[in-house]
Amino acid sequence: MQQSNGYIIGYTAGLTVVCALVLAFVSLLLKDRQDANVQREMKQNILSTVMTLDDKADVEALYTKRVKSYLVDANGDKVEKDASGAAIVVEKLPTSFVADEYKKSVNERKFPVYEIVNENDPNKTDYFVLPVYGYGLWNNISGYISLEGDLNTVKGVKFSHVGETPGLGARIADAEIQGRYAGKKLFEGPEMVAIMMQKGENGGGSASIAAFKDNPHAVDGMSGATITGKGVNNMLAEYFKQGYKNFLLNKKGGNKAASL
Amino acid sequence: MKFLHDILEKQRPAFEKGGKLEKYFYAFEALETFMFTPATTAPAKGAHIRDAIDLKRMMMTVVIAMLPPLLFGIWNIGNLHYLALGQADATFMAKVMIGLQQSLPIIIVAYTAGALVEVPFALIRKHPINEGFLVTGMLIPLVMPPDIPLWQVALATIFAILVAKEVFGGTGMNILNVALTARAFLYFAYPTDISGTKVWTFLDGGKPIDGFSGATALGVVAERSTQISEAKSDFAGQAVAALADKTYAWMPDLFSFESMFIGTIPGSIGETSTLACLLGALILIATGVGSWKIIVSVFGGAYLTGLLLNGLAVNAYMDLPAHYHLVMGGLAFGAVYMATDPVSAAHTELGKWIYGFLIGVMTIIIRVFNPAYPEGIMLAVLLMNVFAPLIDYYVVQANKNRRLKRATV
Amino acid sequence: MSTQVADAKVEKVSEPLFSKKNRKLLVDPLDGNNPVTVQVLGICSALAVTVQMKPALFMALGLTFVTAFSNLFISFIRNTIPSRIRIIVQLAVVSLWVILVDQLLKAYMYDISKQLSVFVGLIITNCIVMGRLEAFAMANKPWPSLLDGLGNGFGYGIILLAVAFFRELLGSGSLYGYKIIGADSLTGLPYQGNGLMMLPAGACIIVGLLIWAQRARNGYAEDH
Repeated sequence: MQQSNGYIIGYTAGLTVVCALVLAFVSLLLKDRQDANVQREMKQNILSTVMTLDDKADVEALYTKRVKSYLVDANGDKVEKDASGAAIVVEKLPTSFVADEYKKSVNERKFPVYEIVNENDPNKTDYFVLPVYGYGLWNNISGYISLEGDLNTVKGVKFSHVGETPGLGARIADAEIQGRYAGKKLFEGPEMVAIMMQKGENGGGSASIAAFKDNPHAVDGMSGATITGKGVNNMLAEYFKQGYKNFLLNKKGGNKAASL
Repeated sequence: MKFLHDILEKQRPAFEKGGKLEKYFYAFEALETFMFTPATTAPAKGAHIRDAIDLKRMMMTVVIAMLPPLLFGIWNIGNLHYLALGQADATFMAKVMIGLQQSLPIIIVAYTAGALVEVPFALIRKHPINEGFLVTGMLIPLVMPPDIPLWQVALATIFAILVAKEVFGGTGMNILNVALTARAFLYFAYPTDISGTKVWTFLDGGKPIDGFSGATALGVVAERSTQISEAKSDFAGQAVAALADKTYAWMPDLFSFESMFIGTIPGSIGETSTLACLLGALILIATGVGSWKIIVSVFGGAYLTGLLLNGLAVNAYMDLPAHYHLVMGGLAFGAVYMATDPVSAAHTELGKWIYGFLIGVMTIIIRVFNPAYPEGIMLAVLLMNVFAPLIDYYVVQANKNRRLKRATV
Repeated sequence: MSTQVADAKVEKVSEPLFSKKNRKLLVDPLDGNNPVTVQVLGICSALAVTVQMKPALFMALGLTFVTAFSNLFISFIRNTIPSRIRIIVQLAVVSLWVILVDQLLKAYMYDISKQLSVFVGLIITNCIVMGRLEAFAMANKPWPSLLDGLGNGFGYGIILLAVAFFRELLGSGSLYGYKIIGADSLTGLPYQGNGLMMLPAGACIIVGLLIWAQRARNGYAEDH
């Protein structure tokens, strides 16, 4: 009796409505919290390239106080309005923004810039944090590069990866490897020279840092992970020899003019 | 000797059924048969055995066949050691001593670790201790780089015997080649100690000569291939040029075809010399222990795949002349000693051809197209080990179908 | 027919909540009838989320939650479900709970949810969930169904945690995120992480060894 078509259709409809209602309700209830989480993580990533954050740090407040963000194009000009003319807020862009832009050719991309301003003087920029994106051995790699106020010296980097080989390429996510980038320089005089990870490894840890102490454009490589290292190099070269290059040059010129 | 044997024989009652140490009978038996002729032999008359080839004799033959690559490998460790340190005039004996100093501990550790697993399992399962381990324990050191930490050798050996052999029921029941399982374990567990450029030449902490690079020939070609654009005019002939290039070949002729054939190149202890492997192949084939079909088809598969890639070449690696593939890396060693493992290989005659051929094909494909693994023979043999029963199954089925057709007519 | 129903009712009233039979529902899947090592279900996620213990724990809790409540819910409505579309109905109910878990994780445990990524969503294809619904909840009363769901979830969880224990300890020298062995760890013992354990193949080997140990102990033998 309960097998009649009418019963089945009614049952299905009823079940669907109930499930949909429950899920819609839950989704509405939790949406804000979820978005906040995504935002918080991004902000944490940006901040952690320039400072150490402990678990209790109030990322939200710190970010609002210290970070000024905007979008630039490959010419180094600020982009303030999107295609429909609405003002762009970098924080409101989709989380996959950098990855989406990566699909375009490098000169058509737009690049987010995060300025970390001084704790006491909100007009003085301490650091610039620039997101980068590229391709490792097996899958995508991404990261943030933070520069000192001179727009030349690397303060710190943060890389993450999707599927590099554990123990080899996956080491780019280790603090030890990332530490090798600190203090390296982007410019040689007025010329832009991207920082290259070298082939082979000189013992790791402090030995690795010592090995390229005198070369500001080279960092020690990861043994057995030549191709991931090359992916990182290509990523940096793409974003700094093109990409952010004009922005950095403009900004540097501007800074110089101001200081003269 | 006789009195030693007598002493041992006197202990026998304690180990036999009902004796005090009955549990340890197989440990006793292994010791006795290893050192002396067993007490029970076939009678002089009556039995129809023409040739007493048993497991023990077969395994000993393989061990003897492994001597050429082992001896060459020992010398080669010392040879490269002194060349890299710039002491080209070192004597033959000095080189051999360095080689022994590096390789003997690895061999001893491999055998000891193997015994640690084999003996308890034999006692629990109440079967004689298998001689199969004589071969595995020698193969494992031969596929290790000279610099491998000894604890890793021990760990890999224990892992391989346990997971590749005892889990499946012991000698003769394994699906995968045990020695290659040991190597694969290290390859994935501690990749920095068994790949890259640091491990293939034993430097003993000394400072190498200027321009020294520890890369293997396969590493050099793979590296060079990624640097050149994909225009035919750019990459043509570049793979061979790279092998002669000073940046990589820190010795004149280090990677020439002849030295790769003879084996004076960096690599795992036993894999470098194609010549020594072929000598071993002669012993295996002459005694009928190894299948010549598998050896020939591995080389054939690799060569034909190399030729095919030459025709389709879009980068320097694909352009590498096919005959170079045969002498580089561990192809020869794998073809002669690994692929022919009678347990894990295909058993049907046609199956052996297919099995070997596909090993050759897979090796070259992994070498050329997989950027993470410079050498492909290990993974190719392991993969085809898994497929061997399937190959056999279809060969048998095809034979059945053929005969059924004849029967119904 | 009617007498049978009446009998069942009487039996239900007299049966304590944790009768021997009900306890068996809860305990059996932990060892003798374990969903992972004996029935060999849910292997996919057991390989994927067991690199560290923390995600493994939350994956296990998530699956237990989904199995238990799907079982309970389906058991409540089991007599109303038209048998022709019962699989679809089961799927709808399971997906409801799965999405709930996913949403809650995203909102309250963002880190964990990122590590588990698609595997929370894939609970819906986990054979344990569908298997218990079809094999048990469709034919049993809500309380035993809930216990059965919990039991199977725990059985899955135990294996997940055991695998993650070995993988995290051997692979990175830590447990639940705390460095136990290796440089700058609690004990300071020298240890080099085993890369094989970081790969899914490592989980496969550990699950295999667990099955071996379990069968050797319980004397289980494959039927030929």
